[in-house]
Formats: sequence, C-alpha cells, structure tokens
Amino acid sequence: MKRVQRAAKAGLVPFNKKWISGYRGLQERGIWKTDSGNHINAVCLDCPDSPCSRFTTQQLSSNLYIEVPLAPDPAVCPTNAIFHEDSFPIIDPDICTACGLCVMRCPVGAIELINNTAVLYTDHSEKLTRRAHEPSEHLNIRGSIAESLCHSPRVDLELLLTQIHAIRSTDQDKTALLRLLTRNTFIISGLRVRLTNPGDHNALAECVADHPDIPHIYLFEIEADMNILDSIRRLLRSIAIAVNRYELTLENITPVIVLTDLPNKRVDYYEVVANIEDRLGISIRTITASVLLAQIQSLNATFINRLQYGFQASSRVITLPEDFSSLYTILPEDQQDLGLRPAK
Amino acid sequence: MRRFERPSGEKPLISSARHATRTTLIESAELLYEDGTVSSATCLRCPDIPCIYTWEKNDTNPLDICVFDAIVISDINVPKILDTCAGCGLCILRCPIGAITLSPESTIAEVQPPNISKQFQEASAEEQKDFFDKLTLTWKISKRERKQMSDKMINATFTLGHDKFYPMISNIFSEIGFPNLRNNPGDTNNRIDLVLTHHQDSLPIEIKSPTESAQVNVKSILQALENKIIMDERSFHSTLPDSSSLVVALEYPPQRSDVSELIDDIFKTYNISIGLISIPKLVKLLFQTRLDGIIHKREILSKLRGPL
Repeated sequence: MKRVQRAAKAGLVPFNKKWISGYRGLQERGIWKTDSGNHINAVCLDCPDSPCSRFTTQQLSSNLYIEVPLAPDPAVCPTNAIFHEDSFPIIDPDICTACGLCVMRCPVGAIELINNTAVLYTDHSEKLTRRAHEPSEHLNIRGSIAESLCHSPRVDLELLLTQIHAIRSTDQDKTALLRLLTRNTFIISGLRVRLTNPGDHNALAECVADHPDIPHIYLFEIEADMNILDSIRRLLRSIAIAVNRYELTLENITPVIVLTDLPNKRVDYYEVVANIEDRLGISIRTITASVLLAQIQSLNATFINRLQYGFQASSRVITLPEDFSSLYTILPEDQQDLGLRPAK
Repeated sequence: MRRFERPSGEKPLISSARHATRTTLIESAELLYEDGTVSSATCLRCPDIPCIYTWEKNDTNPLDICVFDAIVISDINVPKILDTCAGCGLCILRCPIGAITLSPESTIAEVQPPNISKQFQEASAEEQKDFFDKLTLTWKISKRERKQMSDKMINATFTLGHDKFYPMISNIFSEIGFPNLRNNPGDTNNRIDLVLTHHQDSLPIEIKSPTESAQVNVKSILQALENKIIMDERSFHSTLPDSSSLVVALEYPPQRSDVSELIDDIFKTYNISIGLISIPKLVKLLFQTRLDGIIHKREILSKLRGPL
C-alpha cells in the first residue's frame, strides 16, 4: 500500500480498465490512471535492468546438477529481437515471432502484440522514464503498476495459431529459438531451470528443471530438427545418469521432449515411445512449441501440474489434460495446425 | 604311415583322399590319400562354390562371401580372384580343401587351378557330396602366419563404408556359427543393423562402421539400448529379456570412459546389458572356430556386458 501511495505522489496511480471486467491479454496494452483521474496508455519506463530483454543473474543462477560451469544467455527474447541502443529498447519486427515473452516480462504493460509482432510504446518526453526519477522511486512506481496488471488465464486460439505459424516460418535459428523459448517459459512459470551450453555433452540433460517446493525433476531434450529418435535415446541416457549419479528414483523423474511440432506418423517416434513405456515403465512426455506459447499466454494456470500429468504422446494416442484442453475450444483441424496432433 | 610323392603325371583317385592338412598359406593344403600318398590340393570346382556363396539363409538366392566383389567364376568354370581382393581371407577359410593361397607380402589371394581326376569330375553329385562330407581339413599354420592372416582381415575392414562393412560382419558371424539377418535399408519398423537369429534368444547388434566411428561411442550404446527395447517389444524375433544387446566396432573405448560408465548406469537403471565386440576380437573368434575347431557357445554373447 505504501508503494501505491508513493506512486500516487509521483503522479501515477496504476489502473487497468480490463482488470474490472476481466484480464489483460497479450494483445492489450496496459492502461494507467493518473491521480487527476485521467487514463493514460502504458509507456516504457526504460527500466535500468531491462526485464523485457534480460533475466537477472539470480533468475538464471540455477545450480541444478552442475557438471560444467554454465554461462547462461540472459536473453528473454528467443530470437534476440530486442536491442538496446541509446535508451529505450527497440524491437525488430522482422525478427520478432510474437511469442509474448517480453510482453509478460514488461512490468508496466508497455508492450503488446499487434499483427504478429511485439510493439513497445515509448514516450520520448522522458517524463516517466528512470531519467526523471531516483532509481528507488523508479522501482516503486514500476512495482505498484506491476501489482495491478493482471494477465489472462485464457488462451487466445487465434493468436496461438498466428504465433505457431510465425515460429514455423521464421528464418532465425530454430534450435536456438526453441531452446530459449523452453527455458524462458519455465523461468517465468516459476521453475528453476538449467539449460546447457550448446555442445555440452557431459551435462545430465540438455535442460533440467525443478521447483523449489516439489521433490521432482524434469529432464528435457529440445529438438527443433527431426532428430527426434536421437532425443529419445539421449533422454534414456539422462535418466540412467540421474538414477545412478544423483540418487533419484524413476518416480521422481519426468522426461520431456520439446519439439516444434509433433512428428509425422511415419517416423517411428510414437512406437518407440510406446515400446519404452511397455518395456521400461517410463513415460516420455512430448510437448510442442504451441504448448509453451499457450503457457506464456496463460501463466495463471499451474504449469507444474500440466507437466506432471499432461502432454503425453506416450503411445499411439496423444492426450491433453482436462485443464489444458478446456482452455481452448479446439476444433480437430486446429489441433493439427497447433502441432498437437501428428502430421498425416 | 609312409608318405611319398607320386611320380608326376600319375593321378591318384581324389575321392580316396580323406584328410587335408594346411601348414602354410603360401601353398595349398597337402592331401593325404588312403594308400598313403600325398599331393597338393587344387580347386575341385565344388558344386555349391563355398568360396563365393553362402547358402545358409536361402536355397535359391545365395549371398556373396566376398564383400570386395573380388571372386568370380571364370570362363573355364573355376573361381578366379581379381585384383580388388583385399586379402581378408574369408574365402580361404571357406575353401573345404585348402586350395586358395595368399603370400605374406600380398593382399591378393590366389586359387590353385583345378587338377582333378577324371573320375572325380565324372562322379555323381551324391558321390561328390559324400567326398566333401568325409574330407577333413586340419589347420597347422604357424603363429606368425596366423597373426599375419588376422592382421590382413582386420586391415581389410578399415576402409569399408557401411554398405560393405555390414555384410562383412554378417558373414563373419555366420562363419563363427551364429546365423543372422541384416535389416533391409529403409525399413523403419525394423532398423536394427543385424540380428543374430535364434528360436528363442535372438540378439540385436548395432554396427559402427570404421568410416563412421572407429571406437564404440556413447551414441552406439544408446542405439543398442533402443535396439533391445524395440526387439523385446516388437515380435519380429523371439527374445529373452535378460539377454544382451551388442555393439560391434573396430575398437573398444578406453577403460573408465563415458561409454563404460554408461553401460553400468544402463544396467543398474534398466537391467539391460550392453555387450561390446571389437573387430580383432571377432576375428579371433572366427579363427578359433575355423582353424582350431572350437565351437563357441551362444552364452559368450547373450550374457555379455561390456567388452568381450
């Protein structure tokens, strides 16, 4: 409350009209209310720590299962479309795939998605930027605005379709994109995540995540190319190492493969996953980029539960958990487009 | 038994020969006849041509023994060795009478041309078969020659791409006494390189050709693990869950490497044994079988974990 009062003193009281009727989606810019009662659209405060483009060292300092030191890439944007030149961040619309990570990271609602790209609103009069305030005052203003910005628990299916299309058709490095999209989605979902440096073959797994309160680890293989059978084999290696060198039990390990799209039915993927389940009793989960994008859109849902119980492409049939499918009104042909059903 | 050379020109009845002894690769085997006389073995034009074909898998479509395409039937209906020969020695081991020679300096083997009696040529197929059934070939080559022969076979595999290496390994396993099936390229459902077939205990083999990777690597161990899971779950072949999954490569990995740790981890986690067979070890098994008459038990492979 103190922070709100201080913000009010500074001439800003956050207010979001959508908050009254519902929530703000990725395609809606935040709205603030000034103490004189006027509504003004959110603008960039030029935060010194640039949360829209960089994670803090603390957020990246997961020390899960360290074999070799990690030099994590702090980028929030999976395609590095956000640049810093003189002052305000600049988003390159040609590189942006409209995943929404920066929108969710902006503490004041100054970024929204328009026509397949993220747009950052700035006010070059600089009345509101950090230059006009003491650093602590800046953080107070930002904090009070952030408290009142609510995000939608719903997934906008139409947006999701355009997002997945943008990822499929981008000319950026898809492996790097999917790796950062995966890591960053888990970080903003409250998990501790360790993503290995590319080419680090000594690591336990390509990506490891856990939650501070839950005695369970998630082992990820992220595969943007079609070497999906290799991903399965590498996960089996990761599980064997986790069990023998970290004294984890099979019950406490969830292996997950992250793909851009679900594989073609002709690829031996589903059969191998089913064979592993039958022979070894291990269920390998499969999630696609669209699941990550849906998670970014609807952070309020508990992602942990989804990973634990959902997204199984464990045998011939792919099932979605109840709470996830209820977020969409999924038509069969949409499922195909979202990569939630195998290509014919 | 008294031995003496027959005066030249006089031909013994070859069908009376019962034993052949091979003391060197430079010369063909020495045939010992019932009457105590000896002569040098020459090509007999065996009806099933074992130096070129193996008929074990199929009666009508035999498979080639030589992966170098170096042995053909000549105009005069005799096997002939071309200069693509790499001296691997498989045909030498297959020849029932010891009539193929290989000099120490050369990597090209040579068939000793036929010099067989009219009587043998005119004998019926049954009589000829009876002769081969009764003939025993004993190997008594020196240790030095044995080493040279083994080195030549190992060296011959060095440069083989997987299209030639897989058939070579398949042939060697057959010769040791383990019948096997290679996969059809492109069959995604059954993509195990080689399966040692058995009525209840078939074993999957992952083959790393030297051009891919000289040593057994982590990738091949993981493929062997997948092979075992697939074999057990898909009923193309009968399997036993406790039996090993095998990897064949030119060399073993260094001791205490990632690979050996991974084999331990896989066994402790999944209770699946991954066995490794290097080419020198495989050649050794082959020589023990063909030269010493040792019959290898299936257990040496089916219970294998780590290097053989």
